[in-house]
Amino acid sequence: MTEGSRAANGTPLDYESLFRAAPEASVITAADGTILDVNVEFTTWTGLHRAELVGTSFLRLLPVGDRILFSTRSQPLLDLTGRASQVELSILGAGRVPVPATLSVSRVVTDTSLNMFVLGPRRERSVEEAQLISAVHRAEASDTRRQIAETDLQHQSDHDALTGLLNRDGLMKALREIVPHREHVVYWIGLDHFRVINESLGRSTGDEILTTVGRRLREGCTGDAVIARVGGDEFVLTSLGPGYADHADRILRRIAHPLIVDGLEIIISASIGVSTVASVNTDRAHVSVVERLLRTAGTGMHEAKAAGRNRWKHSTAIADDSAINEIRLLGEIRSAIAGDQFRLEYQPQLNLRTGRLHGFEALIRWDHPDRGVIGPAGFIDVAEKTGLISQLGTWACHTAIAQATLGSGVPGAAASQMSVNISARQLSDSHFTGTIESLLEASTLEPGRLTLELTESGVITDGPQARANIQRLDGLGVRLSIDDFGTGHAGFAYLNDFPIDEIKIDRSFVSGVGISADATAIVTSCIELAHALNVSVVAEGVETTEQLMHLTELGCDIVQGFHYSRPLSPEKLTLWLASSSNR
Amino acid sequence: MPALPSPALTREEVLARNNVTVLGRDDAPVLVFVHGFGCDQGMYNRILPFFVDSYRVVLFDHVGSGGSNLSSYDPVVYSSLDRYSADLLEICAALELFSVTLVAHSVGAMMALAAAVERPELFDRLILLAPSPSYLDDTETGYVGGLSADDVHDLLGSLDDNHMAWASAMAPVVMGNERSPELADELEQSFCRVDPRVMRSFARVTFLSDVRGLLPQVTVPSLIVQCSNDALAPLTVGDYLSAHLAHSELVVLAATGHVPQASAPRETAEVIIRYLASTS
Repeated sequence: MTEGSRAANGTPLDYESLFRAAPEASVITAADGTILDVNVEFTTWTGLHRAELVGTSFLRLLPVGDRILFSTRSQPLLDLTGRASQVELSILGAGRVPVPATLSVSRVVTDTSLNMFVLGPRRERSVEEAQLISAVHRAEASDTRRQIAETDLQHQSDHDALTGLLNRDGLMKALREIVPHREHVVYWIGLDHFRVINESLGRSTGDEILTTVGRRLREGCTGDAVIARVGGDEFVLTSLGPGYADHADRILRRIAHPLIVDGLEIIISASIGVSTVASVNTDRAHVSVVERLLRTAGTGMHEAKAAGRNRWKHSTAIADDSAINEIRLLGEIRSAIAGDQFRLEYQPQLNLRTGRLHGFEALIRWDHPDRGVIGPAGFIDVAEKTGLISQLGTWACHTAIAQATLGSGVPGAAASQMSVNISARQLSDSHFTGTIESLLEASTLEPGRLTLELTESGVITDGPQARANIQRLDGLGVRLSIDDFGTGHAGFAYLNDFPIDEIKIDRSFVSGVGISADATAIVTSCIELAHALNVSVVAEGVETTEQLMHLTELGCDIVQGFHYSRPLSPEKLTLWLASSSNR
Repeated sequence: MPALPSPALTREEVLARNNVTVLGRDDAPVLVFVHGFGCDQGMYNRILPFFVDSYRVVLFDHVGSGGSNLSSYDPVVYSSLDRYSADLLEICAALELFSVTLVAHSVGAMMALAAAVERPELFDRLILLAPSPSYLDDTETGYVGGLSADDVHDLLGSLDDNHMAWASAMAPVVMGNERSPELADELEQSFCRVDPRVMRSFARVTFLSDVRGLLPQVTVPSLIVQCSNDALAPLTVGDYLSAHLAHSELVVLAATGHVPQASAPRETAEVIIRYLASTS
């Protein structure tokens, strides 16, 4: 007997009796959880019998949820640290009735490893705890609603409601995610004479034909194919693999299979442009490869129609010169900055609540010596890849702030906003806020009249610098807007996280308002979401009176587009302001 | 919905977000350990000594677990496996890893399978500890995962019961106060700290995900390591994986339980070492 087994007065200690009579419910198991012994307090408390417990697994005493949690957390803690304490669980007592308990367990290493479990009754959950846990459940329910709303919104914006296939945006997103491959084939499929069918047999028959064609295309494809409906009667299918001739023939045969609509047999045909890629050199060319494949296939479809319809036409997309073009363009942008070839135009924005001028968006233009006026789409992406965007961006902010006070003398324009586009790269530049601050100091423009339009990707990058810039700009009193809202991959949680004052709904959604149920639903959701967060909404690309009326009904705050005014040079803007103040 | 990309996170930001630890020699073959539900990278502590001399060992915490950056956790973004496997790939990219062997436990094995389908060229092998492609039974196909939806609901109740204990264990760390030594053993406290709200959401990801559809697409060779009496994955799950994963080997350990790297580190390490040697 070891020394520790005797009391101070030398009397041997009977540990077995001590264990059995201990006032706390106790269980001894082997390291693998097999029960070796239990004490009287444990059997009395749980109503179980020692004989039926010994030799069984401790885990069998736990309800399934507790068993999972014990196996994944308490058991590894015990193995790693020798103990696990304050575990709240239930013990299945007599009649498998759960007895709420608090458990602590220690690993005791003697000749073999043993686990010593001590259990006690669990205290009741306090009112505060119950409230806290119910708040957690409510927060989860709200997260789930947000997730469903975002998924629905994403699905609506990526899919064609009629056929369930991808729409044009969804197609572009899907294609951006695949890596162009030498054997990638794009089929651009246009139904022949569809307009005649639609006009003579009615729209519902037309819709049924489109749905059937969509289904036939899907059924004829393998899992890696991407299929989209990209226009009224046009579909795009992309797939991998050689043998495009056979595949195109099969598509034609599938579509030409007779279909019965309202008892009438209809046979339709299609014309297909097929494009394959000649060579794929670099990742850089990815987007341009995809675009060229699509463009080539689209042109091929028209050629197939011109050649008599119900046929396909193959063309090869050459896609290896984009890197060289980029380098040339970069050089031109550099000399354009030095040569003063950039200027700003200002597009007026209408406040739908007051019927008055809200402000202007500054839009950059490049007066290219050979190619004429080029909009931002022609050079911003390339500038963004290099530091040039910062130079261009600073120049644009400087010019817009200086010219913002142009209309100050004109009634109604004195308090107008000036919106300037900011790239993701500028936003993550540590000097950016300082630059804006000093530009504002040098001007008479109040910070609250300057709106900076950020991109979704710029904001959700969530780099510490971008976050710091956003907070500091907000602190200065500058208004912050999210441009092209709804077109990115982002969820909308960031609206809650950042001090955003305004969102701008992309023109691709605005153009469908009142025409397409999808687009209307998206715009409605965006407005509701923004207003719930106290964020105002600008609709871009408003071109018709109908769009304006629908947007007004939906509660949109501000509109901008050709319907109100085109972008104007500073000179024309002065004239426009003078004439509109006289209206 | 596709996983939210995290564009322009710097290498340092990715490594800090996931509390990445790198041990061993820089020029040695790479083992990346992916932890499962219930704990953090500390889960692997007992088997690390078997590997740090011969391998470059990379460990990390999933966002929301252990020493990860809790501010990066968004319950919606992290409500599916996609974001977790995207994080895993971002860590590989941040450390410029290639020819990686993933050692992945429990739900971590699901992430490893998804990552291997996404970027097969990065990975030499997968070593899957106590894996399951789906914990839920599927009555339509007769697949036995071991749990029912009610069981998962029951688990969420158990998580609620432990909410206060975990929240209070987190508090001193969050507030930067001294830990009260009487609260619990320091070693126990320093392991596997969990945020109770993250645990609930991570439990759903773990026990409701189903990657059976991915298995035919996995081309990276794998070792399936099962325990003989795992409350979470019946032996039939190992057979299912081995039947559906090309180039896979199945080993059933004498060890019991769900976390063999903690309960039987030597046996687990030996099986891994044998597989590494036989496939290198």
